Amino acid sequence: MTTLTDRYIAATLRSVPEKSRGDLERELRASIGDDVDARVARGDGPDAAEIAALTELGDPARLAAAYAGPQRYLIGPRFFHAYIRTLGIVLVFSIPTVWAVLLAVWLAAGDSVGSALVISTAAALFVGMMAGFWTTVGYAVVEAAETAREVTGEPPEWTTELGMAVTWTPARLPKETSARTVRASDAVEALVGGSIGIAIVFIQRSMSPFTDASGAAIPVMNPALWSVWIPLAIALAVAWMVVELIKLVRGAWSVPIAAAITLLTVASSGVQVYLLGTGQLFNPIFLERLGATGWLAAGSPLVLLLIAFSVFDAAKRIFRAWYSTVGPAAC
Amino acid sequence: MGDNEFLATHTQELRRGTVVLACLLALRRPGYGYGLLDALAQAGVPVEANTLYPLLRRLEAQGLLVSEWDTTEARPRKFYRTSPAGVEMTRRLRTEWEELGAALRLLDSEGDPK
Repeated sequence: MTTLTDRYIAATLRSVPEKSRGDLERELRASIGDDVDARVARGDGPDAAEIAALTELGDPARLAAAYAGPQRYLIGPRFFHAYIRTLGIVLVFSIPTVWAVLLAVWLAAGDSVGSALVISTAAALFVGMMAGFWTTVGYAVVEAAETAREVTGEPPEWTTELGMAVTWTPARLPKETSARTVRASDAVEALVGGSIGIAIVFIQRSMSPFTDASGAAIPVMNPALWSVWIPLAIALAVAWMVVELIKLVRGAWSVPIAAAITLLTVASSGVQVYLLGTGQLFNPIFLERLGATGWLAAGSPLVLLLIAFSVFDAAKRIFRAWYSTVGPAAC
Repeated sequence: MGDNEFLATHTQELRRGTVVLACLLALRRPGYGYGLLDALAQAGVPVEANTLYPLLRRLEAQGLLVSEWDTTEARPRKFYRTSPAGVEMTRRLRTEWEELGAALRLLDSEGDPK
């Protein structure tokens, strides 16, 4: 059974370097135990004593930060969770909203489905990047302001407003106690994303806004890619799904899993960047009919944007894999 | 913000620097986290647990304290003791503290309108 103390210790150790966890855990457990015993000896009930002892120790994130000593952060532990949460909300809302609105506008303006799709997708990705950038800048400014207040001994101003309570109670402790947990959303993303991606690759051959003289659909992707590149991309997507499933079943990150994800991410991103960069990804006949040959030619701004997005996404995945595996100590 | 609140802030500032010295002095006899917390409070140097526990580990990392696990009791505890380097640091910090006290007394007598 996990006690409140177990959960408190787990929450504290989460952001402490792996190598000092064992010793720190024993020491913290003894200190909390001593405090609880002293309170019980003064007449408190065991449960009330535990809650009082943990409340006095305060927010585990702050305690962990104190153990780590003074550090410089772009966005430190105070705001990190609020930052990730905000970033998620901003991206989840901004990208689809911009995409849907622009798509509707361009279609209403009488554009072809193809060019409306290309323009709205590019614009939505751009808006997503801008939103992510400014969210990050905003939180970095708040972090710097709060650090400055801390140095001069002034009471915190933003900490209360941006998600991390100054008055902390043990009720805020997360339920689970394992230091690193696997998120089911990773596997869902891999399965849903991977299957949709593979489905699109097959569907685009027969469902296309354009047909040739004989009435056959003109594929969106370059048909020459079927000899090597498309089978390779499908194999990588399947491997990604398998690795994510293994990770989910195993319930923990490990160095081989992180290495496999790194390898797969580099390979998939490499394929994307290579095909985009050399202008081979799309069917030239399709682009001609779309009237977007220039838009997606090698070195065009849209292609560079897509490449930047691919590289950024790959870097994020690789960072997350190793961060989740070996923790902040090694990163 | 009343005078009392300013007093609390300034007192806290004044005490902050003395916690290290108090720990080094107290731990010339080995002690463990909660025991030291209690001892310091009894001696009139109250420290928050979430300040003291990380401080002990930091002083150990600086070589001013050494530690040893005592597993003879039902609850294993990490005992800290002031190292020779810590004793030397104690001496110098104490000199600093006394010089500060003397300087403040001097300022006090100079500023006192006779």
